[in-house]
Amino acid sequence: MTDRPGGDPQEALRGLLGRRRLARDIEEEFEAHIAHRVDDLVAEGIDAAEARRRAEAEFGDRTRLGRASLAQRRSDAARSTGSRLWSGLARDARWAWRQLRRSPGFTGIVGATLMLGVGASVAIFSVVRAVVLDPLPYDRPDDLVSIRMLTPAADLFSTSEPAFLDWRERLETTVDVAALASRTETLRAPGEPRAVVRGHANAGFLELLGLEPRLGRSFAPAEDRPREPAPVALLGRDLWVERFGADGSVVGRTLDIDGRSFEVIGVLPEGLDLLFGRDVDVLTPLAADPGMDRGEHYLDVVARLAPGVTLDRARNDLQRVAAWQSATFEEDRGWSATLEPLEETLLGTQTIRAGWVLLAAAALLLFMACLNVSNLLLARATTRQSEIGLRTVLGAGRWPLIRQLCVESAAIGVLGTALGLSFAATVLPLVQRLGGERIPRLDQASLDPAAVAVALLVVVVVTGAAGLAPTLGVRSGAPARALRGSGRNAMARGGGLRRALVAVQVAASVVLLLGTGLLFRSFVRLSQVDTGFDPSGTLTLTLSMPDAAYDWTERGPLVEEILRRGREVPGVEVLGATAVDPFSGYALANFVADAERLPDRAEEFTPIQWRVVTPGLFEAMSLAVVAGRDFTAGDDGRDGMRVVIDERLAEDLFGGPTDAIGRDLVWGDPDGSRMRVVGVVEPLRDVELSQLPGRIVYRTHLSIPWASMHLVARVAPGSEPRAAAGLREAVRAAAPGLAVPEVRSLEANVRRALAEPRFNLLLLSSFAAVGLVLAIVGLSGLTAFEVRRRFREIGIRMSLGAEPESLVRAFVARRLGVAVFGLVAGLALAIPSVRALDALLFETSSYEPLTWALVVAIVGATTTVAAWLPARRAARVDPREVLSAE
Amino acid sequence: MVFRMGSGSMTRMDLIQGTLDVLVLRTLAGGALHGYAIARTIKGLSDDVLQVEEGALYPALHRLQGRGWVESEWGRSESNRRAKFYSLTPAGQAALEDQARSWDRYSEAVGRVLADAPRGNG
Repeated sequence: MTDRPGGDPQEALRGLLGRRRLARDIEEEFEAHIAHRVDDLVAEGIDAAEARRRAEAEFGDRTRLGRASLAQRRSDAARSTGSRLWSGLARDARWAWRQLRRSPGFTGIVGATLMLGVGASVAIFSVVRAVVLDPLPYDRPDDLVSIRMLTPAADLFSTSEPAFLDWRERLETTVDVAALASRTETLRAPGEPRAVVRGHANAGFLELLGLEPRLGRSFAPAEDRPREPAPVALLGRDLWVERFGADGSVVGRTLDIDGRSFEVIGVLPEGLDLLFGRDVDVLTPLAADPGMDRGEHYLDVVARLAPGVTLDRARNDLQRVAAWQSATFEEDRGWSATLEPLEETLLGTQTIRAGWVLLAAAALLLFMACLNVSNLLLARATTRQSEIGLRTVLGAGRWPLIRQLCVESAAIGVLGTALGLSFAATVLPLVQRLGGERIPRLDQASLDPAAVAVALLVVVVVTGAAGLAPTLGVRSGAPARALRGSGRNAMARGGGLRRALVAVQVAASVVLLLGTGLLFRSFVRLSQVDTGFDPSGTLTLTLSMPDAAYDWTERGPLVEEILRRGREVPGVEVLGATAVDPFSGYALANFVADAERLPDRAEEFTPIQWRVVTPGLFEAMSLAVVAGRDFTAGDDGRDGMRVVIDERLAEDLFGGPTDAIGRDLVWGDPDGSRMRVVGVVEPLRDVELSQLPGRIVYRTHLSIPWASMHLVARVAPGSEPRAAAGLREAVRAAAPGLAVPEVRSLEANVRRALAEPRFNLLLLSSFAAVGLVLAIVGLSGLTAFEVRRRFREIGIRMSLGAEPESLVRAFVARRLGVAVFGLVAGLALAIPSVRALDALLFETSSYEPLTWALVVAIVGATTTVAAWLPARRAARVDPREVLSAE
Repeated sequence: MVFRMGSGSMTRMDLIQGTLDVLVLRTLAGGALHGYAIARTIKGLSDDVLQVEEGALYPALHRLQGRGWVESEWGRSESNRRAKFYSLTPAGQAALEDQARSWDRYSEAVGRVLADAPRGNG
């Protein structure tokens, strides 16, 4: 009977299962051995009983040996069934785990390094992918463009209904053109009144994007005839869930929006919030009117380019139509139009650029982490070279040895990556909260499997390669040399590579720190921007008084009544209202000119922003009136329009604040209405912090009643909650039909305006901090290793009378050479790279000397400390101990 | 892993694993043997210098069998007792040649180290 595992699989299987049979086999084999020994001893003349006793004693513990043999045989049998490789790997993995546990310091540093490096880079890649890299959620998004008009001053502007219809009809390079807009109105039924965002879009809008209603159908062309929008509506998902319980039979039900009734024909798909800039609750037909005033610019326009049409060709086509418009229509004179990929418009070139910068930083960090880990592994490998040499000469095959080292390194890599992923999973929600609502699509970020796979691959390859390094020595050098030299020769060889790796790390951290430093300077400047008003202790709430519910003559008195009641609320010190919510990103724009120096052509008018405000607003926002006066109840337009302008416009048009008082300006174009300047206020920066304060014209709500007004209340410190409740009550009492608005603090608006720069800064600065830590770990690890390896030399020198201080100095000097090299290389690398930040910086040069000097100082100081701390240990060496240790 | 010297003398050596494997293989090169005979043969061939302990021999045999270098078969011994006979497989033959070469390298290396290193507990 042949008993050879690895031969007959059936036999092997039996071997695997027949534990008792195997045990008996082994027991019989041992028994036969003892019997033969007894025979020999008896032949030597020893009596049988004594021979038996002696043979058994010589054999030793039969039970233990039997168990060991049994385990061996069973695992052999198991391997022969095809999992030989697996159990080998499992054994290697157990060995690797023991190795790692034996050096907790090493394992801890490597684990932490990989956790930070992998965690941060995976989290960032996931964020950047969701925000920037993922295609827009529309069909063939690369063919979608946004079209915007250009004012005579070449500012981007929204589109009028007739202009949109011209493009739709006359553009030859597009498949279709769609227009959209949205406004806040009040839903009265079903349910309690609430504010809703009603979007308008033409029939064909969803089809152009390649979207289909989640339920029901989209608008038919007949429902979108000029001036005759059909009373049909598509519901947004949230409203559908909230007011109809996500009822599948909602089609055919009706909505009451500000007294007008709409029939529900379907439910909107996802993805439109990106296009409208906010969640749309209801979408109704636009019914664009070719006869409408071309001066009414309020539409956003998207178009789908015909297959194969380039951006340049489409732009030329658009220029052609815009030139025709400019030549044909008085209101379009001097205007033009431009288009760009829809993605750039929706995500913002700023965000896209910031995304790429962050991505580069994340890659740099992962790179540094890998460098660090390979450096640590290399340093460790040299100390293990003698161990490996010994095992080789003792008959360990090269392949099992290599496999074992591979498994050990891979175990480190997998462990670190696993830590990194849990770190990323922890950090990602924090990053999302940090970004707030200002960063589109941030909420959609989730740990990206591709990023995880790439990080794992990179880490395993790097650690595997570094872990294998000691076997190279085994192959090339004779094993005897490894044994004899205690690995010292080999260490000297690896030293140059490790020094280079540390230098690269220092260089990388210089680049990261510089980027962060510059963004930090920029952020500080941005948050110190004088907004022109003090947002602290200021509350805002939005009143929405739509055309359908309030005649324009009713709005003025209604707002006055709300203001009157609101001013009596305890805690409210000053109360006013404006048509433009500060920092909402929304602005009204037009053109004005000095009536006494009236240009002939509209394109020579001065572009301005304008606001509709009530008396008291300037005081509520702490805007000082520098000349003239605030509005009063008498400025109701009956005896001519009156306006207040800001200092900048007063300077530009009339030469100064006091000169402006009593002068007239002309509104819009040479035939426009005339308005008397009665006051001049401080400049106000309330659209984007990074933009210059605009030239602003304030008009009173009594002369031009606005459908949506934002109350701004300055309240006594500490009385915010009471004042907020009182203001809501005042609105309810004055206008029972109005949706009761939410009260927000104006400070939150300002914080939101800072959200994106703060987001970029915090991410990049945490990167830089991690990067610096990695560089410090690398440098101090290298010095510590060097000190340990040269203990003997130190001992000799000290026993020969060398001063400990001079030894420390020598060590630090050597390490600093590496650091200085890295620093210089980093600066050289940074000179071209920081240009990428230019577009993200606010009033900050990318070559600002202070930031650069600071970075050099930080890197210099930390690397010196990192080199000095371990070197100090060398000075404490007891020469006798060292010399006897080897 | 080190050699344990017999107390003050070189008459007996406990065998380390890699060495034992190669010795077993070498012994089996002459033909199939049972475990006791293998131990006796090694002892005899080395002029009683190399002493194989049972605690090392059987694990080694089972290990070699696991690697497919030897195979085993129950049979009758010279003293007409039932015993398990081990014999070399072709893979075992190849392994023996390979191990013999690395043994030469090993003994040469050890020899050089011993010749080179300072004596005593430097």
